[in-house]
Amino acid sequence: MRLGRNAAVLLCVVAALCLTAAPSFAQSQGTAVLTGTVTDAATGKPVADVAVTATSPALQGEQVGVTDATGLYRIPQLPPGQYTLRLEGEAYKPYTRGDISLRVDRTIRLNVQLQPESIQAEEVIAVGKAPTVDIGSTTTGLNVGKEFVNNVPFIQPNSTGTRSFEALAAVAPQVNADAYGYSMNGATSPENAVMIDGVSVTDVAYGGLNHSTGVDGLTMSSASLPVEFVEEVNVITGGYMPEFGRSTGGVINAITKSGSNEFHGSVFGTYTPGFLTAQQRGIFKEASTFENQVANFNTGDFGVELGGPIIKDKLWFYVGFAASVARTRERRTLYRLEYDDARDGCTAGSDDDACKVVDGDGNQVRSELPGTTEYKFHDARAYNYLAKLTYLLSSNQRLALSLNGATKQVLTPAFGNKLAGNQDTSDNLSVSLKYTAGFLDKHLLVDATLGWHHQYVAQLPDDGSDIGSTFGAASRSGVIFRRSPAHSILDFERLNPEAAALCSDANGNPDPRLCPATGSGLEYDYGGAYYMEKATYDRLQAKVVVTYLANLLGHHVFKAGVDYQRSFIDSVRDYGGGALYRESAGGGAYREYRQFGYYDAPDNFVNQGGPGNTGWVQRSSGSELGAFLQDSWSLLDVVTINAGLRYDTQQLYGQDGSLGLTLNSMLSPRVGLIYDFTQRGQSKVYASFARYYESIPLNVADRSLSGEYQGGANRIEQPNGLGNGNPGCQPLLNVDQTVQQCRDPRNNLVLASPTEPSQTGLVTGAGKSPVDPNLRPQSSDEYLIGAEYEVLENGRLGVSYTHRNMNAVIEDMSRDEGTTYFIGNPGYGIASDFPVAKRDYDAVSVYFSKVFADLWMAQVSYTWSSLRGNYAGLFRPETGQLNPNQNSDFDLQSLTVNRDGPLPGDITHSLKAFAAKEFVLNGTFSVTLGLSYTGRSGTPVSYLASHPIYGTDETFVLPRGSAGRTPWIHQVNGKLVGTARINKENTVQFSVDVFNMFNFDGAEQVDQRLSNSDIIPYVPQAGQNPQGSACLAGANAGCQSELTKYSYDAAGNVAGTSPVTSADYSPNFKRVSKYQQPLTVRFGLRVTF
Amino acid sequence: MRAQIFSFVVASAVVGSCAQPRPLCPVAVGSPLGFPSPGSPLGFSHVQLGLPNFWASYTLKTGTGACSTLPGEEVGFQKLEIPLKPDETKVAIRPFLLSYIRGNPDGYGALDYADYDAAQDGPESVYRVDPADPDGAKVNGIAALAARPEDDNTCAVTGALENEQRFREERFTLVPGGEVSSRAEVDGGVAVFPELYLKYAWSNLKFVSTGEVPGSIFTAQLEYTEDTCTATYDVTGVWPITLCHTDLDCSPNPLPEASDTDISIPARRFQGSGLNPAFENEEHPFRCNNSAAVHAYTATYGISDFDEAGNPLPVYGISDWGVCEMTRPVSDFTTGP
Repeated sequence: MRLGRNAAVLLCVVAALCLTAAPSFAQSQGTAVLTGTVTDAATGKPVADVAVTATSPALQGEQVGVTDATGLYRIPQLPPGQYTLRLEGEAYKPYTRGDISLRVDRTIRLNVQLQPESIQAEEVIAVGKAPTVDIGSTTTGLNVGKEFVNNVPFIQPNSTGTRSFEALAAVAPQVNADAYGYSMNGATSPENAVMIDGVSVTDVAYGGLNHSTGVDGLTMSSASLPVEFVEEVNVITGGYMPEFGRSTGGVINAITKSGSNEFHGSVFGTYTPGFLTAQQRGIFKEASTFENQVANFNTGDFGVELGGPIIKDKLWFYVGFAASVARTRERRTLYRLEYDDARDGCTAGSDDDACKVVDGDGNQVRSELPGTTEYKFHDARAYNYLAKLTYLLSSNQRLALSLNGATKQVLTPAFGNKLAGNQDTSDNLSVSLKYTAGFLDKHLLVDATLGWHHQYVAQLPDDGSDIGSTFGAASRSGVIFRRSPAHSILDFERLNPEAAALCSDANGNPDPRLCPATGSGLEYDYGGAYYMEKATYDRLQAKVVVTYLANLLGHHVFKAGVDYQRSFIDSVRDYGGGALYRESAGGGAYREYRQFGYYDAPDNFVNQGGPGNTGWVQRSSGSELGAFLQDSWSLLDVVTINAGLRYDTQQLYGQDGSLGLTLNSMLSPRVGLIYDFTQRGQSKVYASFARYYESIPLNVADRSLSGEYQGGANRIEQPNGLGNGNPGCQPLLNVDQTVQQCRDPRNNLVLASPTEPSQTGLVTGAGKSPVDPNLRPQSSDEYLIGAEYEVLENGRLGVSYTHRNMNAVIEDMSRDEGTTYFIGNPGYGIASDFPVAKRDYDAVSVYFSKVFADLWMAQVSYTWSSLRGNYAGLFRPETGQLNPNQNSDFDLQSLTVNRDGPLPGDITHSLKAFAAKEFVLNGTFSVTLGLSYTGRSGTPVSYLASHPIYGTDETFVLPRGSAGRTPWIHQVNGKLVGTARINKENTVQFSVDVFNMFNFDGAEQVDQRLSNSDIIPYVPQAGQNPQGSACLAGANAGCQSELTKYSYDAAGNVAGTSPVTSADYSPNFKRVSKYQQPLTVRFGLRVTF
Repeated sequence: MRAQIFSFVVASAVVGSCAQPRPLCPVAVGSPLGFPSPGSPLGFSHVQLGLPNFWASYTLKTGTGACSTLPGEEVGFQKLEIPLKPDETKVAIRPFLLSYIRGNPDGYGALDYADYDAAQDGPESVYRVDPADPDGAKVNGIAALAARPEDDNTCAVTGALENEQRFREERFTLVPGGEVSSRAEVDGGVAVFPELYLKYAWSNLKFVSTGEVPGSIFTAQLEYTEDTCTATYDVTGVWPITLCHTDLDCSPNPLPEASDTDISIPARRFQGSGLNPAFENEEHPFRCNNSAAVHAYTATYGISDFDEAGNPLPVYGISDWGVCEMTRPVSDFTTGP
């Protein structure tokens, strides 16, 4: 189209310029590519030898590309930021285009028509819209950058106070929070690969980013980075090329900020006051003496970041430091359960239902005991730091050295009679060196990375005692009391005289039914430290990627790479006093429930823990080698074919350094096809297939492949109860007894059958687990189709369908009721008689995304999904057990019944909407309003009961999901930011975030424990209503339940089976056990310079 | 860790065509929590407090007399291993009859009984003692166990492995009409349990160790001595011991459609017998050994039948329970990789 001769400034309109986002495929180096074709505006023919110069505040110096015979130029390895492109060709007018926004892992295609010099016009400055549709890749997910973080209220205050980057993963469709992070495409969070600047910071032992101490579910993180230090977070949920591997979930890659030629930085702080946090609705549990409530007291963080030049255009630095504090307050109050002994049908002093005082809903009434309310604080402190140097070796070579880390400590108090609270430490450090170079006019690129990731975790008592200490809580055993008939609270704690009297009978003796501390599944924690651990995890990694551009029937970008990782775990563990004791179910005896050590002769246990001993020392390691080859073939800028293959191997080594498990020849093919039907970068239709392999976290090497030796004995409480002068084991009298007196062999109760060589000793734990010689690696297949269309300037509308299923799964199984285990694939090989592990995920997403331009942004998505099977993933949502590839899902045949159905992460409808708009008041002031809405339908509820060996919540009484669903949960957040621009460089921002603006009290979790009894799973006949046969469907007084349970004699041995009655059912079943976080207000202040 | 960094390069050379490491020598054992396999009825017995162990079937080689009629018995093992010292591994063996005749007053009682106490209802257990070994240490036999299997997939026990007790005589004055077990000689109202010498001498004991058979099959020779009678047997042990009435009771697979008459234990329908399915094939299925000798043995467990609710009805002295046996030859597992 010819342009007018006399135009002074030519404004190129959208149609002439195809500014598209067309990445070849994701690059894990955290850089971007600028490419495009240059044609003559008059003739339409390609122009060769045009110099294309890219400049940016984010770029050291400038980068130049030259167009080839086809008019194509390509400038790769550009750090993300705002770019200006200038094109100069002989006999053509120079052309400049600014405001090109380069995001991480994106290729921007800027096709330019150059005006011949003969036309009278001045320099062409282009104005137009930013790229939207990504026509070169099938990757699903999204990039979250600064403008989202600063304007949309999303990252909620949490128990550690750090506003870390991984929370941004939940912005993407098909991503939902789970217990340990974010579940992507139906996988569990430990299956994700997490990187900072392309260096893996995935947790060495557990996968993903977080694992729990088991104390109130507090999490230890393998890495945390405040969002203030992050340039962009790349959330990749699926459809990605073989450059990324070692994940059956998704990939989260955070790119940190870098310096620039000018000094820039900011000072920031936030404060979340407790008095502006609404009261969380209390969890109501029937028939309990205890009520604990935790509420935010004060949370805040403060930090500073600064970047700039040391040598302009040559050497840049960036440093950041942030400290955060979170204080939560826990309140415990004691109650008395009300009885009315004067009633008809009631025997005085009995805890029969007839004697209970109940309210209108049929729940037993309880009254608060005066003077028993106690407040204690949980304190979490974290320090995050980041330091980075980028050095331009030459115009073609760049070096970057980066260091980031955190130290985090959480102090949790203990109520009642525990000797000390808990001190949990989670430190991490990541160091990386990256080399980036381009040769042959940027036709050959090399990216090399060396990295070291280090973690230190510790769970210790907060009184300064350590594993092996001869003083403090670590030197004394913990005792779990749990007997039925119940202990009164007065057995354990001294209450004030008024409260004590209310818990006693007429004669002033403790009446256990009034203030019970144990019984009906209730356990009371007492005494010294429970589980203690100190461990260091290390990962060394080296990676080289080579890219080569070629023209062959279109443009090819070939990539090949090799990467190697070596990981180590060094740990020491113990239980307080050398053993954790547990009272027998009926009382009268205590058992060494957990104790590290071994038998060197029948009934002679050698304890490796306890005061003065080293504890259980363990060392294990792993190595992984990966290589990939891929090509992105672009035909006429209309169709792109991506194809690649990845090869992985992994070895795990156990305690003695010998090989425990090997996975060879994991071949992942990836294929993708993209077609742009507008041929102008405004649309795409795409399809892809990918196979993903799991990288097994090292926890398997630490446990199953090293051997976990434990043992103990049952000790009778009563002195001389066995007629041999035994001293008796009475930790209530004096917890010091557990270290000496309890262990006297005369206390031992015989447990075994005549054929057990250890007649009183329990042998728990086992040696190294054997591995199926034909073990298949764990992998998942993904099918993806979708389409996108640019419906308005800067905004695109898309739809996609994803299907994922598991191939083989690696799990541990047992044929001898949990004494020894082997590692295999359920349903295959030596485990052919176990059911096949299945997880099928289908999702349809519709989304609209508009970047922040013209003062507003919006992102809306709706996902319908279905997640079904019998395997949730690397952790068990029902119990929170996180032991990847060795959880209890397939341990025993008796555990696999009724497991098929909708999985705990199955969320049918998920709606996410984010929007922000800026209102400019005048040249100095502006106000931004941000809103976010997330709503999701409920998750399946199951009927859980106890398994005789594995304990609570391990038996599915009826098929998974039979008990219905939790209700919908909605959350609306609002944010107001006031910005004052003092001058060109300096701004001051004040912000207010209101989370859960309407204080909804949605139910996040409900109690799924139907019973504490060992109910035998019931498999309904075809066509039979499962709830009807179990008499759970509603009021039918004459209903005869088909359910049966194991019954026990006084010594605790199985005596037979008996029918299940309503007395076996927990009154708390289906009651809400966790509400969503209440209304919270956070203030923020940021000064940018 | 420093030393291991330098193994960085060595480890990478190991990559490639590694096979899974061979399992160490495991030994199948019962549950430590005293709970039975869902497929086994033994846990329902008031006698059997723990998960049953191996069923060792005895095939007579030489000998005559009372000691040459044993069909087999239950034996239990414990592997004694010291972490990081696999070459010091030992194994302990304990046979059912020797242990039960000695008895344990704090636990499972004893095999023999006599009604000598008028104050108590019914007979009392009779416990036997070896005066030279009052603690009964020699009821366990302990010997060294190889750390790793041989090329034929077997793990050998080396050194002397013996269980031995010389019980002294016990005398009781019975209450009128009082019951007494058959091992006693009754003369004029006095029951005499004569001195009894029992010895098990195991030789050539080998466990099978493959991915499919984690130490749950063993073979051995046994020289069994009862007083002056000696017999030698070939022994094949299979884990776990499972009682049965019919061959179908031994099925390792859940059988929800089986009729009441085919399966004698209701719980077994959903769980399977607990036997390893690799132990049978089409040519050699599991078999329920219902010989009279086996019935006499299972009578010592003191269980008989189940009521409609599935609860056990104990009956002493008689039993119609057989034991599941593997008919596949052990050589099927000891050849090949």
